[in-house]
Amino acid sequence: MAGSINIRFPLRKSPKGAFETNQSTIQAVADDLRILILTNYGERPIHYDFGANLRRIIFEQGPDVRQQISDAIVAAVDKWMPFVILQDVQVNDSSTSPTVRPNEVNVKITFSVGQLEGVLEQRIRA
Amino acid sequence: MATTTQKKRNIKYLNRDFESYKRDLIDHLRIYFPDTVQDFNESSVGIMFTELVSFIGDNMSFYLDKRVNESFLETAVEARNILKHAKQLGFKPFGKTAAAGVTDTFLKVPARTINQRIVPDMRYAGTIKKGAKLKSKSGKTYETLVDIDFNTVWNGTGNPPSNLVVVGDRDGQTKQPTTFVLKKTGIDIKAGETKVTTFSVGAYQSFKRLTVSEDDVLEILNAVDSEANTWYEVEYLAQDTVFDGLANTGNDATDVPFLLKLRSVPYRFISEFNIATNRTSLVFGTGDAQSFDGDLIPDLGDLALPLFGRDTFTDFSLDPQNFLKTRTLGLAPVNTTMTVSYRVGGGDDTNVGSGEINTVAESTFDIGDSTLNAATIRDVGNSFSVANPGPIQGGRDQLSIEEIRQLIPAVFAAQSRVVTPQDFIARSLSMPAKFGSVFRATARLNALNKNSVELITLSRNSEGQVTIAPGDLKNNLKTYISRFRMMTDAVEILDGTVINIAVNFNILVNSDFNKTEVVANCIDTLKDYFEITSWQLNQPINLTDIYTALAAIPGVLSVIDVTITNKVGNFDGRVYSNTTFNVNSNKKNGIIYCNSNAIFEIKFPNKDITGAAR
Repeated sequence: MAGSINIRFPLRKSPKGAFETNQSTIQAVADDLRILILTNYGERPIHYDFGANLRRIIFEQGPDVRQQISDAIVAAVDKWMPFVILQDVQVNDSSTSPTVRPNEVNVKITFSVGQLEGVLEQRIRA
Repeated sequence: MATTTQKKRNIKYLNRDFESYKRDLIDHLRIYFPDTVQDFNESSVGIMFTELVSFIGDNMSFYLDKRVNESFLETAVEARNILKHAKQLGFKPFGKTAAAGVTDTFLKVPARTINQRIVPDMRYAGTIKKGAKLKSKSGKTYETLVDIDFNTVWNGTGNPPSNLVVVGDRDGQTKQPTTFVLKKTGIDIKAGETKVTTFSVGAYQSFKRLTVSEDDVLEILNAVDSEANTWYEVEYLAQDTVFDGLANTGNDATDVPFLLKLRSVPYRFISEFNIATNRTSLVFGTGDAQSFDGDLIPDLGDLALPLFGRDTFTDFSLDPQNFLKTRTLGLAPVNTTMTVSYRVGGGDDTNVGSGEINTVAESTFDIGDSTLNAATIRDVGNSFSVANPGPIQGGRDQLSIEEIRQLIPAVFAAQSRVVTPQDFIARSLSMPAKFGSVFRATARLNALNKNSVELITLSRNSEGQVTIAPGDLKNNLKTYISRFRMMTDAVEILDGTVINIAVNFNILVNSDFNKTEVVANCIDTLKDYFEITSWQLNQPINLTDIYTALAAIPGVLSVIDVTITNKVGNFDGRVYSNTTFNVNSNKKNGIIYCNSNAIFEIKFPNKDITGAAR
């Protein structure tokens, strides 16, 4: 039996007690990516600059906000999860996708770890 | 036999910071939970938890270190903690201190003709009351600490002393003196200004605190309530007596101007200086001043456990507040108005050089004779002037926290009690001079009673000669020591012994020098050598020192001999002590020894140091 890799995020209670864990590497890395892009500077003790700090960008709505979000994600992954290769980062807002509500952005990250590939889709509210 | 294997985990307890906690927790997870957690990058939830725990550990280590550091005087850094250490070790923080010194004072009085002599009219030589306000050139205020009685400058007989009385003004035509200037020297002054404030005190409150609403209070001078009770400042509230001086009317009043008494002071307070706010507070005790009946000792029967007919009893709880309600910590003022006078000022800038204090800002001139000319009295009072001949020093700004930290050990070593012989000696010598001055003291255990201390003292008379301490001085000393001695110690104050001696020397003088001059120089050298302030009880005379001192004088080729003789009783109008001392039998290897309670003195140096030259 394969062992647990890490704790799932968001946290869920496991029927075996404690928290549910990820059994697959791709799912584990996707959860780590989710934590990384949802964390803003200063939210993590000791590591002040941990995270993609997207809230600041989302609050500063401008013409190139989607590009700024994409750049921030690439930079954060490069710094904190260098073992992840980003193949594509798509950022959509209400102007580019009818399913995205105002004050929201939808981030779709296609990534690979070694031979494994995965996709993370995360909606971020301003 | 069954055996049990206990899995022992290697846990490190020496980690103190975030990184070491995190590193070892991850190592722990890798070793003991390899199937549960394999993801150790910062983005994972497990590491987030690990970091949170490490962060808490780091914080707790920091505060643990800090608390431990703050627990010791040497490592404490917070001012409030250093002050708490100071208080615990008996150091009383204080603010600025005031410069102090002496000044010369002058008063111009009219001239008067008596028996065809023009002299100062001493009827106008009144008193400048203490508290006269003086100003320095830089505008700082100083106050005189004593009354200045100019009437003591000249008693009207003989010629006025030329160093204290000079002609002030002269008549334009006759050139005769019309005024004289009287001079009083050595008047104590201190920087600062006396001020008065009042506090309205309401209902009873234990440890009532009244804070003077002004910075840089140097000292509390006086506190009086509206019922005219004087409240005395004490070192600590449990101190229920203070020293008080009564004017001595006995025969030895010259040497002992005041008799020392212990005054019981239920009306008392301590002053506390807050170094953070720079304010001074008066803190009172716990007794109710309105129900004060003069009984300082609580009725212990009130504290006994009532048995109500039972013969046995078990442990019982006791409220310590019951003890605090006694008046043993002094009274607290209730429903009254407290008038407090205090001195304010001080600081580095109150130190000034000679001649800097030259202005009288305010003074009160008091003259007893009301029949004198009022306008002249006013002119004389207004003529009061000052000039400080030397620097006024000792002022300094508030202590820094680091200075307090350095001072605390010294204060801790200086306890307010006498235990060792050195304590007795130091305490005896520190008695205020107005109660009689102990010149030399030594202490030893009574050979027959180990709980009894023999305190041997000597004093000096008005001519500076060593003498047996007057009876009143010894009584004052006994009262003074009683406040500090241990309850089980008995103190016997004994007289020391004065051994009067004379010195004669013979020297060979170089023919190029004047013999008389060389002998005079030798006598001056021996006067310095035997100056009594340099001698202690039990101090031997080393003849080699005398030979060496004489041989070092220019013109002295060799010291032929030095003879020490004992002087006893009356001789040629000079009165010596009655102590007989055999010099030869107490001389050993060129050193003359005396008993531990004795001191050598050349009482009349001008007569008893003699020499001859060849």
